[in-house]
Order: sequence, then structure tokens, then C-alpha cells
Amino acid sequence: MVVEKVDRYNLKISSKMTEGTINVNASNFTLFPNNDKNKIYFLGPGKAAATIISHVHSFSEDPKYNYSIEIASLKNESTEKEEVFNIDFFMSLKNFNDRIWLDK
Amino acid sequence: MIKKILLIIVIFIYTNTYSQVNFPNAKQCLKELLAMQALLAENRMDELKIFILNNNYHYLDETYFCKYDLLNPPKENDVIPVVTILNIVNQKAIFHDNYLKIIFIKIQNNKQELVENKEDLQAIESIIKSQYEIGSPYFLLKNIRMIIILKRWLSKKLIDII
Repeated sequence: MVVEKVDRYNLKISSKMTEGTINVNASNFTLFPNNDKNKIYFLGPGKAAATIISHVHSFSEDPKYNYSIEIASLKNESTEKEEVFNIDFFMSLKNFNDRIWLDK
Repeated sequence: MIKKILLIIVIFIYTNTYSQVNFPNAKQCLKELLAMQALLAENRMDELKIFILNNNYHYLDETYFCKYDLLNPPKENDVIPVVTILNIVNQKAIFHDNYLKIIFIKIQNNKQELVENKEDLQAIESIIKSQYEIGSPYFLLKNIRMIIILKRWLSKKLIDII
């Protein structure tokens, strides 16, 4: 397997198992193994370990099809070390990955 | 990049063919919701209230509010998020106390109606999911030994969600 570091947030990986080159990008939005596609992790911001965005579907109640989003924050075991959420800075960012919150 | 452009085109065609839903500020809305939840997680309730009012949300009661810009009101078929602040019931040890639940209303015949149509709801979900730039957590890229785990992820095609 050959790993080429393009820059701080981008890698290129090639191996016999992967057909061609795969670009791997760092992102605040991610999925974790075995979690479903309707549960997206936003890694940051502020003191929370992660913000989980759940796309919730319900077929059982009336009306027959319900859809909502739930957004919850995972606790961080060492919150004292984490930076307090800077709302002005966060809202000034144009794109969600303009700042990678895990890169401290 | 090309994949993302194609995805946006497909979603645009899909939403205009099978449903009558516009969500013009979906990215900004998602950003605002993440900001609100971050303030909630840090229990900064006074700042949250100011943020909610400054961003054109209107309280329906103390924990229930919706987005409505009076200077630039939503047009026909535009979607408006309605947000409720709720208390975590399960898994209190791992989650902060409060979370947000969002449902959607839509302007139909100059009235605000709860979106119940399956095609409309699926279109809203697609629009929101298209805002995510799914990738790998930074710690995986930082530590070269974690590349093996990353490789397993790639083989399971977990990187692409849509």
C-alpha cells in the first residue's frame, strides 16, 4: 500500500486491493463503522466530543410517513481542555470544513 | 468534485420533478442548528436565545421556535424548519442534557402546512444530506498507523453515504 500525503488534510492511497488511487479527505462530517447512514457525526465544535445528526423515519404512526432530524451532543470526558464554542467564528466560516475541529 | 456536482444535479432534477419543495438556505440552516446545539451543550442559554432571535427564528413557546424572515418571507413551496428543544431521556451519561428536534413546514397556497407528503419529506432529506461533506476524521489521517483502519473503511464503502 502506498500512501501519499497531498497536504495536511488530503491523502492519496493506492494498493493492489484498491483499483487506482483513492483520495482520502479529512472532514468534520463522518460516519463510523457499523453506524447507519442516517446518523452523521459532526466532529466538533466547542466542548462536545461530537454532534450527532440523526435522520429519523417513522412509518408506524399517523400520518404514515414521518421524518424529523434530531441533533444531540456527545459528552467529552475532558471538557476542561476543550475550547469554548466560538459562535462568531463558527458562523463566519463559509464551508463546514474550513476549520477541522479535531486539528488542535 | 465531479461526483458532487452530479449529485447536486440529480437532486435538483429529482426535487423539481417529483416534489414541490424548495429549501434555499439549507446550508445556512444546518450551520445555525449546529451552532444552537453547541450552545445548548455548553448550557449557554442566554446566548442561545439571542442567537435564535438574531437569526430570524420566532418563539412559539419557550422551547419551540421556527425560522421566518419577515424582511425576506418564504415563497410558495419554501420549507421552514420548526425546532424544539428536548431533554435527553436515554443514555444521559454520554449525551449532553438537551437536544434539538426539527420538523418542517412548507408554504402552500400562502399558508404554512406541516410537511406530511412522503415525496416532499424525502426531497427535504436529500437536500440536507447533500450539504454534508463526508470524509474521514482528522485523527485517522494524522496517524499513519490508522491508515489500515481507514483502508477497511474504504473497502466497506462507508465514505460515501448517498
